[in-house]
Amino acid sequence: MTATSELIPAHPRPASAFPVGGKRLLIYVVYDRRGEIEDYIPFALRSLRPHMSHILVVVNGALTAEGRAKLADVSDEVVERENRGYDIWGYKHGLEHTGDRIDDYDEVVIANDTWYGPVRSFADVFEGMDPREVHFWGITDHARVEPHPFTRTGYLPYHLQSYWVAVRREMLQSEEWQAYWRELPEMTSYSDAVVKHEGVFTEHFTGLGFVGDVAFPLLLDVPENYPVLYARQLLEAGCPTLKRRAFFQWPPYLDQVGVVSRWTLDAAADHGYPVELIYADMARNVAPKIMNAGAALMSVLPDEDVSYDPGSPLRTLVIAHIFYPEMTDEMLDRADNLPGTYDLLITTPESERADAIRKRLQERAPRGTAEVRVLASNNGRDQGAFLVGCRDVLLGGEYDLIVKIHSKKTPQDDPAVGAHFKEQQFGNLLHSPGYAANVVALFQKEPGLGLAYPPTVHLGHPTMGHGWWENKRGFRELAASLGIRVPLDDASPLAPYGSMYFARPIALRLLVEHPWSYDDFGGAEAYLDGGLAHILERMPSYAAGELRYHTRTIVASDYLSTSYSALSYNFDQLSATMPGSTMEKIQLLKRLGPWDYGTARDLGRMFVSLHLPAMQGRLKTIYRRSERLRSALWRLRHPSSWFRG
Amino acid sequence: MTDGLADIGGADIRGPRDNSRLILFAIHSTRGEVDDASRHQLAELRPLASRLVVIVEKGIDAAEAAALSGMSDRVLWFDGRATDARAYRRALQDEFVEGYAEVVLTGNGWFGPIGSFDHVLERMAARDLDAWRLIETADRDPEVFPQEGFPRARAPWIWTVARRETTRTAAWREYWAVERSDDEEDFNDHLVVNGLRTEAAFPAGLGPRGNPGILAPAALLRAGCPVLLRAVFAQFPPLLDRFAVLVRPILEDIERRGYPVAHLWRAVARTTPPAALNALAGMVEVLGDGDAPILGEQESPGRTPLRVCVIVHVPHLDFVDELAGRLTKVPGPFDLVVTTTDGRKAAKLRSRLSKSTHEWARRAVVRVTWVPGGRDIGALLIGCKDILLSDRYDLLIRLHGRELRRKPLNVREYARRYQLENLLSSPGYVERVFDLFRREPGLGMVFPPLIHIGYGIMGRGWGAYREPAEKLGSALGVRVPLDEVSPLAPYGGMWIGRPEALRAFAAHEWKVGDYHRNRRSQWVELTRVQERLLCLAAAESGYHCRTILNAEHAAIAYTALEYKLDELSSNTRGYPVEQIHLLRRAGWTGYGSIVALSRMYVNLNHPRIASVAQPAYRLLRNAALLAKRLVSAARNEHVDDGRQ
Repeated sequence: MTATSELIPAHPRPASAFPVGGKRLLIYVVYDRRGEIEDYIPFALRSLRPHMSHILVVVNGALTAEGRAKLADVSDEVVERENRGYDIWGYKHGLEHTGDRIDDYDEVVIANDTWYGPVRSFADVFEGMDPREVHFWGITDHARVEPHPFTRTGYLPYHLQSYWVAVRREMLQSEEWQAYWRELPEMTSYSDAVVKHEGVFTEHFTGLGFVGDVAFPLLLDVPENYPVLYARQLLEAGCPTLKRRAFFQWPPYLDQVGVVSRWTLDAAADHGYPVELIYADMARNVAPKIMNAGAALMSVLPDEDVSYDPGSPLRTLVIAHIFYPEMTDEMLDRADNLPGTYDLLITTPESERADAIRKRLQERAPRGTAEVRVLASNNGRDQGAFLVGCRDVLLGGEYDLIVKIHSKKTPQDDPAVGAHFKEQQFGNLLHSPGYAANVVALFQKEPGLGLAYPPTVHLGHPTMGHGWWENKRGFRELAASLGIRVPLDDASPLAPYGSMYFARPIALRLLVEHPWSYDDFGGAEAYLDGGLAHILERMPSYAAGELRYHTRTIVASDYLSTSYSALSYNFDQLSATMPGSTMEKIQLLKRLGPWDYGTARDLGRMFVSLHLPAMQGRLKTIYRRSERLRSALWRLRHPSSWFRG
Repeated sequence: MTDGLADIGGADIRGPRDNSRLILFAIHSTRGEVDDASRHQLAELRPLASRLVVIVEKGIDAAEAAALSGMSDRVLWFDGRATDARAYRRALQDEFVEGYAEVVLTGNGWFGPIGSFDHVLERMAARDLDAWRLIETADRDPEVFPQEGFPRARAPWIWTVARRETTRTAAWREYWAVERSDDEEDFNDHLVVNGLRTEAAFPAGLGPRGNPGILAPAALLRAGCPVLLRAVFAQFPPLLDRFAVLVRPILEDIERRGYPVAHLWRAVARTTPPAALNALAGMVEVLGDGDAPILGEQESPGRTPLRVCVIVHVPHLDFVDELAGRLTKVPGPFDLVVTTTDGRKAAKLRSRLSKSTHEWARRAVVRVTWVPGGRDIGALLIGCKDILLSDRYDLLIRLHGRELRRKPLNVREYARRYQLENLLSSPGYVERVFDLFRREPGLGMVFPPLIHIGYGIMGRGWGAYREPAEKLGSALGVRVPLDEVSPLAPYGGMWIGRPEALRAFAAHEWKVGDYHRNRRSQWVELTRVQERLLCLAAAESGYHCRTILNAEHAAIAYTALEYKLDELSSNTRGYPVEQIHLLRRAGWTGYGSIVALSRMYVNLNHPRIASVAQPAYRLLRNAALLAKRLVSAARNEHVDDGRQ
């Protein structure tokens, strides 16, 4: 008895059901580049505990003490090995490590850590699979694809997906099983793991007469990676596992196939899975902008308070760096939109400014304590003020939430552009009392929420596609030195451009802990692209991510109207001259490389990168060496240059 | 101080004391009509003018021009386009200027007055000047985007004033003796060269590039300028984007200050391509789901009840449950009309509806609309013609359960939810949608914005339907300019709208046969052409459209859009306007073949050669295509252009 036609061998060997009270071994392979173990793993293992007689965790790579402790609680045995051969060689290692003890078990499950769960119940799955008389079974499967999507020749056979395969006693003790693992080929790439194991395992054993089965057979009549593209529908069908890949794939790809991961997360939450485990894992291991788009982590908040809980207020501190004292009232009026009480810490670089600010404060009704600090230096502007001047309160643990604002004027911009930027910041942070209450409520509801700030400003600013500017290299170096290993986004980072945000101070610890000094920032002349202030402006979400805190963008509907309509029109215009889907357009543009000014040289470079990628280096050298020849040709074509020195 | 009421100042007044003012008001219209906004200007200027002369350009509807005689002292015809000095010269040849303290040369190039002219007139009256103009423009050669469909906007002079002393100078006489196609700044230059003292009420420095009228309208209004230039609405939206010119808050502001924005909407709906208008005026509405707030004071107290009809096409019965669920989101009473494709389904529908617990379901009318090839839109235009053409309803809600068979499951689900949930999210949401219609009598239709998840419509919304749409549009009398890349359209075929907005479209005698395969050669695929023309037809009748999203879909669509646009923009330099302009100038990239790259090189670097070579290239290509068609026709092969 089996669920899909492909799993019926022509000459089936006798198979048996999992005996009542039988023994089951779980070999669970983990890969964590930090060795620290994300919390979704103990959660999954704990829920599998009642079904397993023994849990062996095989770790590809080394564990930290923290990681070891987390696993010790939820498993019987943990072995660490060199990170080689992907999860498949991890399975092999686990099987070899178990050795003859394998005979003690009626079933061995080989599974890896590439899924969250259980979203639906494992008990139901075991209950369904145990009585079936089969040799091996999986949770989900993949239909036959021809030609093979990886090798482009032959075909990818129908197969059980390798993140979970259970094997019964008859097969475990067969010579064929031993031989399969003995002769397992080397695997040096992700593609190897699919081509040499996942894709062939099922067909190999069905061909040998072993009977397979699958808990959630072919979901659709088209071959797809269902757990990634149809995760929500699989959950509806009762599937306990939710593949992580569904959340870190390139958004334009998921978008093209209509995957809305937001709805998958909602479905998981509805089924009772603690989705904060997913957010915490993604915050650490997915580039923040991909996470923002993939999980649609933007909150459109209304002006009516619909969510704030006055019963559990957050200890809130507004940190305002005020360089222009005349903006004091305007800023504090905004801050007064916050619900309940809040403390106020104002920083300013000179005592005259501080006096002017204090005078304004006297005429206002305070909502908590208020302090004005005169800083030792204006170096680093609001960044220096925040990281050096407010270090003590940020690390003090007195506050649950801080609101960082500053007196923004951007005098270097055109006035309308500057005014828009200011409104884009204040308007989307503290739009109205109801709005601000809704923002605070986000932090009340999500303990894992680290930061909330407006989406990237784009009207009047050339930020689209260029959010890093010259700061990426410096960012990478600084992030590494601060111990931030969150992957970096490609075209633009997810960042509070403008440096105003709501944050949990605890989420900013990696950023604040570092002993910054005003000298690190340099004077006004250092306030340039690639300079420390600009690097730090882009860092909060990455720093928070390392500590498992995620970011949301927050937006008021009036800004969204203007922003959405502009983005949509620009997108339409920008994608008008390329063929295919949006994803294909992006891919084509990426392959073409930078356009610069569209000169012969630029288009020539595009041609080379597209059609002669192998020759790129050589042609570059030739181009550089031919400078004199080219300039001679240029002069030849431009007679006016003949008479100039 | 004198005690004369008409006198606006005391002894230090340098300007005209008698306050007599001749206003020459030129009317230009690409549509040959005088719109409400222009009439509003005239009505408001009337009290400021001792004599008001209207100069009407050739091509303006004679009856509309004649009607202006009741609003002015004289209506003059100008045999040309009233967008430069020549129009005023025509009037000055006939009008006697000597008797007036000042002559004002203006026209319908602006919306206003916003607030009133009093303040600025008072301020300028105090200046010792020979002439002045309202807005200075140092940008003599403003950036234009003809290739993108936005050539230079032409308009009459905004507001130039010449005082009595000026009109008596030789420079004045010299200037008007010759025919010149000058703008206001040219005229000003002439006066300055001849030693006259001139000034601008609002200097060029108020805006970037020395062009505050177009690139800093908000700054002008804030500074007290009483006009908003029409030219703002004729700009390429990404150019406005570049300078953070946000039209949406400007319109909110001028409405607060008492300007009847309905006039403006009616005017711009008919002259700006709809998708461009949607972008530049920020017309995406993100509406909440909670209880709709009490309407503001300016609206009538409470909510006027709306007569609503829901017209649903149900091609298969699986849709019924989902539909019933959605319809509970409509607040207040409504009529339901259900169309289906055959009598068997109609009978089943009737029996299911009659058993419903909802009163609206039991009262529902079921019609059989047998329109092969007409999809949902044929069922509407033919099967519900009477409803569209009647005055029975204030609003129609158009839904359907048509399946998108060729799309993957996820895309089908997303698209259906995108349509239905963004129209009927919750009772509070729908009430907010109704409020949009209550607030704006000129709002014709609302529907979700162009879908971009799971679809590649962005960048090619017209598909193969642009030419047929132009043809059908002109047959329907649509003269609203078409968008270049993608039209603003309810691509999914679901919307909420006023029947009046679609009346012109519905009045066309559509027949079942129009949708027949055999007519394909004429309209490609009529349903898709019609879908893309709805907003244009509404615009032609003076109705504008808005796009609507609920908060959940806004979050999903915005984050995806922003991510994709960021990726798409990462290989080109500068602001979006520069990135777009570069790619558009380069032209079709194909897949980056040597031919495509060479063509792009020529387009970008030798546009003159390209302009010569392109027609030849097109001729060759078309010849080849024609030959191919002829060959396939000869072989009797079926060519299906209908893309999903």
